[in-house]
Amino acid sequence: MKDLLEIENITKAFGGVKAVDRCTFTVEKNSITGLIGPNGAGKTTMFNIISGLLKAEEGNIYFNDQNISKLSPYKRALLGLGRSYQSIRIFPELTALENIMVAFQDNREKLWHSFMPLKKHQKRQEKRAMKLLESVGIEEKSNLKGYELSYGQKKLIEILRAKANDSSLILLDEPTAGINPTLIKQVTTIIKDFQKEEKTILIVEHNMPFIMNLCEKIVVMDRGTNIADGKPKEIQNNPKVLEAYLGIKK
Amino acid sequence: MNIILGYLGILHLGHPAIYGIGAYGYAILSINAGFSFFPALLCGGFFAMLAGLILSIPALRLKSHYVGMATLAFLIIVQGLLINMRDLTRGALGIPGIPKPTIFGYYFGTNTSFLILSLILATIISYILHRVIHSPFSKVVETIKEDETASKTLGKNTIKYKIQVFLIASFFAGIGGGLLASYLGFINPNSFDPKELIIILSMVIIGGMASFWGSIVGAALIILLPEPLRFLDLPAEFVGPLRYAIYGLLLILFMIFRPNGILGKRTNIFSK
Repeated sequence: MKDLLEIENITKAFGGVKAVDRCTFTVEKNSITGLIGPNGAGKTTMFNIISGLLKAEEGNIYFNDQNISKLSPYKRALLGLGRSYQSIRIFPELTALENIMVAFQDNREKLWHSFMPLKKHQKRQEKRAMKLLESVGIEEKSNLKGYELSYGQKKLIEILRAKANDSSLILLDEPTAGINPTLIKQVTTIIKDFQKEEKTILIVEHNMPFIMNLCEKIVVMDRGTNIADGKPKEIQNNPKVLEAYLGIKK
Repeated sequence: MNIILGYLGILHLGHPAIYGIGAYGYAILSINAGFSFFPALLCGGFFAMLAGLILSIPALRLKSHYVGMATLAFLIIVQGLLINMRDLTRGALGIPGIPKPTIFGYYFGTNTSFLILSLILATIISYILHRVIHSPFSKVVETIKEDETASKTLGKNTIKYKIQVFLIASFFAGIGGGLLASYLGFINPNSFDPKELIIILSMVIIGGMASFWGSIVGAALIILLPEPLRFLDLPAEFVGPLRYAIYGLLLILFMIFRPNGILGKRTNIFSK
């Protein structure tokens, strides 16, 4: 299968600390790939570099064979790169429904659209957003403001937003952090559904059973660089990975 | 200002300068170039919009309170220019004899006729702003206020939206300035000094930020509130400062006890 995302020798330093150091890996199209590593390994920094929130000092990022290293975050998002955040970032003053609607690409949100008849279009968009909320069973919360939703509901909305944004590559930063086992199952189903819809998913996660069951390929980072990648079973037995996590040599 | 402060969440303190430019634009064009009411008013609006564009490009690269400082500096610079560009603005002497509107031969010279004209223009502008505020465009603008990073990663060109908001707000502020100049018949740089900020901020904050009706209620309240002072037997030099003291006190009280204003949304602009 063709690679959708290619990370090539990415380096990023904060002062004297190299958060990411010549890191290279690829993400296959339509795959579910895990990005794991101990705390401080540079995973979230890597996500921020991929989505354009941080600029790498060296290296290139190719998305669909296009070098996106110099593109601004919004241009990357328009190309099909969506993401969720480690600390939830849904819009607190917008309702659950509006949080989804604002992510649609065909939102008729240009200034001049304000003076066009939009009622029918808005109704259609509301229906689309409502269907997405129904798919995770939180349609009755549609009119609640972002800040009124529970932590788990916010997580779901953030993941749905990436879907509404019609992203072909979805970066999920710790999607199961702080949520209960029932919700983890639901998140697993959503991610598998993404794959059925021919989307590609890259997940940063500390929940090992979740990542080992879900991912076809795992990339392991330590001290800013890729120390191993392969199938979950290969990773579990890789001495470099055990050393990074446990600090011992097998 | 409600659009920029309430919906976009940017502390824009240069607003009096923007509507001052609209006012001077109207005054100069109608007196020196013989423009009639609407062309002069619209040109004043465009000058203000241009000033808004010039201000927005550097100011929008800054964040939180630094935007406030940059826009306040802009206000002081514009005031300095109004005082010192004497050939154009007559400096501190101001511009007297600004004509009242004449539309299709009808002269709006009386207070009542001017009030009716102002109400018609205010209704048209309110309708336009109401459409903008209740559109998907405005929702995107709100996302920028609430979390610009998340907005960017949803594919929103946040800089473009911010500039557009500045342009709309500046244009209508310029129109407001032109109307004010036409009503007063005389303007000088002091008409647009930082003191005016207190009044505008009071209107927006007390009425309620990010609320269409909030600004209207706030403006009405702020204008009417000091009126009872007229009936008190106080010396004139005391009444003026007392008005500002009341506005200042109200601003402080609202920010402590009701930061959302009378009709506003929950906001975190001042805690950023």
